[in-house]
Amino acid sequence: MWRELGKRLVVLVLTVAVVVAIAAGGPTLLQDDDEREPLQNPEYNPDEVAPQTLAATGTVEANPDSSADDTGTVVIDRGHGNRFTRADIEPLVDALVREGYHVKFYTDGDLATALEDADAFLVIDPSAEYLSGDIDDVRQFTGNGGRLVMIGEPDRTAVSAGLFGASIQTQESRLTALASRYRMSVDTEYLYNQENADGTFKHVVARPTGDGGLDGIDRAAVYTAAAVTAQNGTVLLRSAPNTHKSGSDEVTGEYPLVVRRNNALLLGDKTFMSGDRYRVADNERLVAYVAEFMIEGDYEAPPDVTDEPSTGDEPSADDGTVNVTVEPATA
Amino acid sequence: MASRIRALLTRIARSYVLFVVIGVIVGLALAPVAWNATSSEGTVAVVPVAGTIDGGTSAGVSSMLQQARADPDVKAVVLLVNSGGGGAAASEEMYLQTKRTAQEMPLITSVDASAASGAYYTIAPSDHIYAKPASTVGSVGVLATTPTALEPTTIISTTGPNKLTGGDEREFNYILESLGNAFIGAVFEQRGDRLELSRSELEQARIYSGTQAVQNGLVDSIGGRQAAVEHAADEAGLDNYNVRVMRPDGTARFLSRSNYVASTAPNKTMVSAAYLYGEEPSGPVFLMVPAAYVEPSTNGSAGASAAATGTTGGANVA
Repeated sequence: MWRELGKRLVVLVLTVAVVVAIAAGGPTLLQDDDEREPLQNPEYNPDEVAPQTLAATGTVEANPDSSADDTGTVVIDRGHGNRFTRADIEPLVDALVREGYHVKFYTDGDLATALEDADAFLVIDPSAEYLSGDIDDVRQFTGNGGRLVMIGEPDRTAVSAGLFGASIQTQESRLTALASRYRMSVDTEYLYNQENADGTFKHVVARPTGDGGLDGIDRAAVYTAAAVTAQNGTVLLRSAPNTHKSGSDEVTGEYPLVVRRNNALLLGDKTFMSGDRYRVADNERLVAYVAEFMIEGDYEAPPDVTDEPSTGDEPSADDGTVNVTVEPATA
Repeated sequence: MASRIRALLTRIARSYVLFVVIGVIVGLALAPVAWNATSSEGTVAVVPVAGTIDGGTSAGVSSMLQQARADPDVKAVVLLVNSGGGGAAASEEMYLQTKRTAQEMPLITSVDASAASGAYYTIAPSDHIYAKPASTVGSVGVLATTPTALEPTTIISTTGPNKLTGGDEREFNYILESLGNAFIGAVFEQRGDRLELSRSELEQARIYSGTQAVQNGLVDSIGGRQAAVEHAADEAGLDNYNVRVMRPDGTARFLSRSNYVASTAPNKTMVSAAYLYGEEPSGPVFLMVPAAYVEPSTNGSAGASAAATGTTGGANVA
């Protein structure tokens, strides 16, 4: 009897062994080959995901009209709380100096006196509006052949310490009083473009309109720019299609970024010419154009500079072309 | 007498009838279990995605999804999402896990308080997304602290000019843009046929309510958890099914009070934004969260800070 029982116990043990063996080997045998297929991720195709970088090469080569003087002076405004650094203007200053021009800064005092020997006056992102006396001085200057370049910015939010820092300030380009006397204005909203940008949406790509002499420019890149306008002015540069103004997400357009009206030039961005951006796309050509525009100015003081300057209210005077002795050919 | 009993025992021992009887008794004892087992055609696994997405969240959800995929009884998965996103790389890992799961079985999502940014990235591969009217979804985009311009000096020497910062601000924006493109591309890959938003509109990184999201295709319909579970069972062809709620091991951390309140996580806690980007960021931290979630709560300039990040998040969400 014990022998028979022993046989059955052996059968039991063998049965357990077979079951365990099947359990161990089963998953391997039954494994679904499909599960081991690698995950396909066409949405991460690097050629489509990684944006094309705009080339940052080129040098500023100003080529002013041959009738322009070989030497002269450009005055840069420092008297109205202007926000710019040396790095912001260095490529432009470099181009002017290479053309034989002096660069001076106006900080305070009589503006008319400061502009007496100048050919051009550059105003960058002032934080204080021009008083009427200064505006009259500038208008008298441009009315007699001097060139005015105004560079505005949209309202900017300045963060003083880190991305999530504690100190936030809004900065405004206070060009309204001066620019409006030239029937020009700078918008307060920044532009953005999600399709044509240099890396990120606020770095908007712009294209020349074909008017006004921006030769050699295919596209330029501006960094946090504002749209500009000028009544009866010439638009030289526009943002790429489908550009938005901040706060107007539903509306797109090709907004003017550089406009010229006689002897006044207005730009809606100061950063395109900074030391680390002026080579991007064809920005160097835009810098060269600004330099040429200033070099081709030729201010000649009227015989009696103490005359009451024009108020700008008269249609014949507000375009800044009265008493122009030399009209540059590159306009 | 004794010999008769001995003979009977011997006969019983040699007979197979006894073993059959024992087998029947044991079988009947196990029958109820077997009945229940076979009356259910499969299991719907419910996987919570709760709290700020970091490495721990990603590992926990990945583990739960891997378990669900490996279990032959699990026929469908429901994601219960209540998160405003988190780290970029962790969010991408979650996306890859849910995408793989959706390839193998129906994946249905139910959104609680929010599925924003990295959390929306996570649920994008779902076959169907339910949200509630008060849910918030969207914020499809990436934000990061921009590296400060630094120059190698005599104090800190480097072998290359970009070793300190990784590149200048312009180059950094290209990096950020490539992360954003991957995010946008993934959402369109998964839901392009249902989205009413253009790529540019999605890139605006807005947040939408549940009902708005149904209109623009970020969400499929209004509904709660039960609807999601039933939908998952239907998709898997299950008439009779079990529901297994899987639980993560760790603590769910929340940047947003609304997410925290809505959460059913057994262990939950509120954390400050510094949990993600640190007290003093030493380098770029790529985040997939609405900027409103990472506003400082210790000063009064929260709204302005959100504006400074270039996002449209409200000032008082966090």
